[in-house]
Amino acid sequence: MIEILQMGFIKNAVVAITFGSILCGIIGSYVVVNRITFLAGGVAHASFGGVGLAFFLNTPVLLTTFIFSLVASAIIGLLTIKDNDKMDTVVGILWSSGMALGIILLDLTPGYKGNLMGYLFGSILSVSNGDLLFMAISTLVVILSVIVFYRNLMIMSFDREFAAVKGIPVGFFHVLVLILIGFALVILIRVSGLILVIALLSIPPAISSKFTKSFFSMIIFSIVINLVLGFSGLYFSYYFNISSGASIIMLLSILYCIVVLSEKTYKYFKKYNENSLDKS
Amino acid sequence: MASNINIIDIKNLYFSYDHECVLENINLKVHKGDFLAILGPNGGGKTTLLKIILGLIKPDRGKISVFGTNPGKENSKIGYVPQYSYINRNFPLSVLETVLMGIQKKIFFSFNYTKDDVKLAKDVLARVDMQEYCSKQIHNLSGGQRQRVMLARAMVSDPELIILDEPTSNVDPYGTFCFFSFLEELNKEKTIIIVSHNVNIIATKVNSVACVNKFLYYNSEPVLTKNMLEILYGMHDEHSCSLGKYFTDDFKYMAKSESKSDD
Repeated sequence: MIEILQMGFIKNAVVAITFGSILCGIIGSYVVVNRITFLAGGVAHASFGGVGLAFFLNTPVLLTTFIFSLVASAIIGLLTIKDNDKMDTVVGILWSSGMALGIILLDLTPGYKGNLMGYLFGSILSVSNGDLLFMAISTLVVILSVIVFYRNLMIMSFDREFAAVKGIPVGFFHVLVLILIGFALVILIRVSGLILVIALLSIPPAISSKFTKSFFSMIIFSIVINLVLGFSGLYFSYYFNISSGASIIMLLSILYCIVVLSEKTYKYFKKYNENSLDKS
Repeated sequence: MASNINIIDIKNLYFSYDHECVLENINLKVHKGDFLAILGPNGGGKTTLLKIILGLIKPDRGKISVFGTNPGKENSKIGYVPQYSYINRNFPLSVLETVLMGIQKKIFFSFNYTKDDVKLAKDVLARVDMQEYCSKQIHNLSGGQRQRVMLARAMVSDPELIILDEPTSNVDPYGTFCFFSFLEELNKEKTIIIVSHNVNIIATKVNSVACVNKFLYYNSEPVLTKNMLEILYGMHDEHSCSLGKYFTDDFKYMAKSESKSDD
């Protein structure tokens, strides 16, 4: 175990997972509570256009994708401020057109395209020191914005109408949350890739929402789940020589199934006991 | 009780969604100390009127002043109890935290509540008789209990006007009775507006009533007038209420379609 940690790229991977866990815990809780998983997925997939753009213009991939995903999330945010019937169509179109743009730009780029699969499904072992700095900055930005706006984000998530009456700029915060998703994406591209991001954002808060009683504890539990399963996933991927992102997500999914099944069993037996008590 | 100070003053107000007129020539005055019921069928424009009063949407034409200024400017003087269906049922939140939301705070760095805030919230919860539920989850309460917590959230900022949107739609009859007797108490110090599609609430202690269905009829006594009954029970104009007229309309329509098919 110790000797694994002494390898430089593993060290970077561990730091990346730590940043990713914190971000996913915070952003994911907002995503799950506000039921905007689909919007988050839209932002993530549309960001593939950024990967294509980076190869086409020969610019740094992470930075270009970051800027592209911020723009994409702002557009999706602005178009979905009013929760109208066409929202899912709009997001669906942006979702796929972003990916299509990425593919076209890649087609137009001559020469070797590098490890494209890495951007789609994650390549945590290739995190560079420069990437780490970038991740640290985005984590800091997300944590700061949540601390500054915590109460408003909370009121808005619980009850938009009331928030609007209280004079909270609901539209601004709606876009802000999506832009923060854009920030989180930069880190998560390395950890899990663009396609698997939704799992990291949605599974841990979904698990913690089963037993937490406040939004703050939901965030903290999600971060803990992310950290524990992130490191175990990394260990499994090293041990069995499989992709790290996929192994983390498989672990999360298995944990989710176990939690849901035990919840159902618990409820069933509780009901059964109550019924048998009534009869006796 | 009712004095001459107008809290809300609406004159010749019009509003339409996509060229379809929802509110037409609305006139309404709400005085300090009023207990007004705004009744109307679903889709009649009650919620739209409410949103205009709260400054969430702008009217097409007409004048409206709330606390003597434009709507939305003085919302700290309004305690708002929204419909339960607007509330995010996914959000984990305790009763105490729900009430704390109502305390007016600055937008930035408002992470923590002070001891005074918590004490204030607990006092208000005690007024609505919910103090022992402080740490319970808001979603695990009964409809009536939840509504009392939502009322406490509106009251915690000590507003002058309390607006309730369909407050008893999820509440059992006994809970509704308790809720209204509390509102009656509250009306001694605050102006109250209730919006509902349920005509039964005029049997409570409301002191004036307005019916909205595109048009608005106001009565300064808690009694429904003939005009009100007409707009409450569907858009039946006098002529369309008579069976004969329906028939003649049908025949006209048939005649038209026949002449068209002839072409």
